[in-house]
Amino acid sequence: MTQSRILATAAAGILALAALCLASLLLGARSGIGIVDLASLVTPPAAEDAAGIVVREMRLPRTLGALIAGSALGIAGALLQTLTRNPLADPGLLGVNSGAALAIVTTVWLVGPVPPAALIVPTLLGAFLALAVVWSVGASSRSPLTLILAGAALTAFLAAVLRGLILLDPFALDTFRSWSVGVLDRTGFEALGVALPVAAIGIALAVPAALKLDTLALGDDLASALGVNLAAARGLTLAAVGVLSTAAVLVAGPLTFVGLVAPHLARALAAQSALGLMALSGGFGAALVLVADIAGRIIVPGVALEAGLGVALIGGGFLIWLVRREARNPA
Amino acid sequence: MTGLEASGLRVELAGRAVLHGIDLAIADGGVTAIIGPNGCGKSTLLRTFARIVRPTEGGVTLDGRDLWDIDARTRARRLGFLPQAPQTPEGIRVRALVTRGRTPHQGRFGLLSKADHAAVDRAIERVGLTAFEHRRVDRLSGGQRQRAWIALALAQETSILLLDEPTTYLDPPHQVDVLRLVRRLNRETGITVVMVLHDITLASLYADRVIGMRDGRLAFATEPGERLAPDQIETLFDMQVHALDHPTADRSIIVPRD
Repeated sequence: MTQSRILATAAAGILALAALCLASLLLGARSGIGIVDLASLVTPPAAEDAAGIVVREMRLPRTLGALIAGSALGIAGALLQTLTRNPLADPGLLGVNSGAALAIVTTVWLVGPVPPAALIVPTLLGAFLALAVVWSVGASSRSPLTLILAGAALTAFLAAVLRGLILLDPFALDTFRSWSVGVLDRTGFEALGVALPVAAIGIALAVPAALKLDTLALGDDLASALGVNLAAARGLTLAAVGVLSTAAVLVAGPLTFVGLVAPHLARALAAQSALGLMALSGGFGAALVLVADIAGRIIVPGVALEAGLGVALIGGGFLIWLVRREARNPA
Repeated sequence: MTGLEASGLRVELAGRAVLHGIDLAIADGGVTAIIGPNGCGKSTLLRTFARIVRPTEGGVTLDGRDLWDIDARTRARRLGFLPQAPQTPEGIRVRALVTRGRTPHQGRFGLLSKADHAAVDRAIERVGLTAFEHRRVDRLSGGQRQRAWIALALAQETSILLLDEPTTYLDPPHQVDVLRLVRRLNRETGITVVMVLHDITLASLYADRVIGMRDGRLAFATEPGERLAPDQIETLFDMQVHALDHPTADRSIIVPRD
């Protein structure tokens, strides 16, 4: 891409995201919220200003949550797909997000409700443990499907454990519900404040990883001849994936398919470098989660569907299409 | 000494001995071709020189230092390697591909300096692809694509370049084209070239020095400029050959006896 095309793409992307954010603030079960109510974003609304309170206290955090979770998962998916040269790789499908979510549920089940900041370490542990398991099983295989099958098996196993925990403690059903599928309606400012620095660390790891991935894409031998330490490059990339997935799960629970779909949309715009692919995937991931969350709020009047369901509806169809295409022309 | 030197080199791959004690020095400056039957270990020797395969015994030195003790980036600025079948990233353009050769020169954030851009320009020009620099690599002809990969190695600006079968998958005119390019680059820039070749005649014509290998051992090594002798080829391939004079160059042409 030329310099001017990069700038034009970035400008168009930012405008589109801004429009989606505006829609996310204005649309929802509660109608009659207009542009004037956005004033509450700047100055705290009065106690009787119900519309202003909805915008500031509910719609603003879930909009920011969608931006953080979507972009983190889009970037993580781009890194994973580039690293594994596997178009099906996604932290959701590989069970990394489920691992992180199960770690949160286990923590809450063991010690009771804790502030979001106390969840960072267990969530990181869960994400990296799941990543290590699925990587050790599927990474050495030449077939792209092995990694996905390993991920599917791990996800099913983690879901079974999660269901077991819920059955043991039926009263916790409502608390755990939000951790079995991606949701944004309970995202608060506290969780955002915790996830944002985690996502920032993830991006700080992802940028140098992406630069190394460009060289790894030439094949291991040539990358090594160009002075890249293969093990260090892979480790850095996986570290970025784990941290970014953790950030996403902390705000939105285990969203699947975002990391799968976003890089494919980004690739369609002919991103030439891993860094460009990463940036575009982040944008598409954020847009995808915003669209899914907005659609969930307005599609069935009076009922708010979880963002995770919307994403799964879009992503599930996409996955089937991809697998069919892969089966027809194997790489 | 400067250059690459293998001493007592033994290599096992997947538990099987592939190289059984190789002693070989590659002095700076010339074009060396390694030939031998399939499975003789010629690619493994080149890949050990490239530090991709690790010897089980013996070692390789670069400018007198153990190759495995040299920092990866420093080594990558001195020693380039082009594998037999590198992967072409989907949709990549020639210039972007060649730019990746600057990897060992770039800083932490991958920003390209003026020197990087200039080195990429020079490399593309030297292989004659300036008019094609914005084309997609996967849409080039086989010969042009190989030129693009060689340009990547040139942009790396190393003084030694290892090429693993640079002429495979090419039809005869493009094989000659690539080897002429390699020899011209050696003459113009002084870059030391070590390449694995399949074709005996091309090796004889385009290399200053030919190394013969068989069963993981060196069978012979000619002196720079020395012509190949028929008995050298016969020790490699169990085949009776004639050595004819090339009509214009002071080189042998090897043909099988009828």
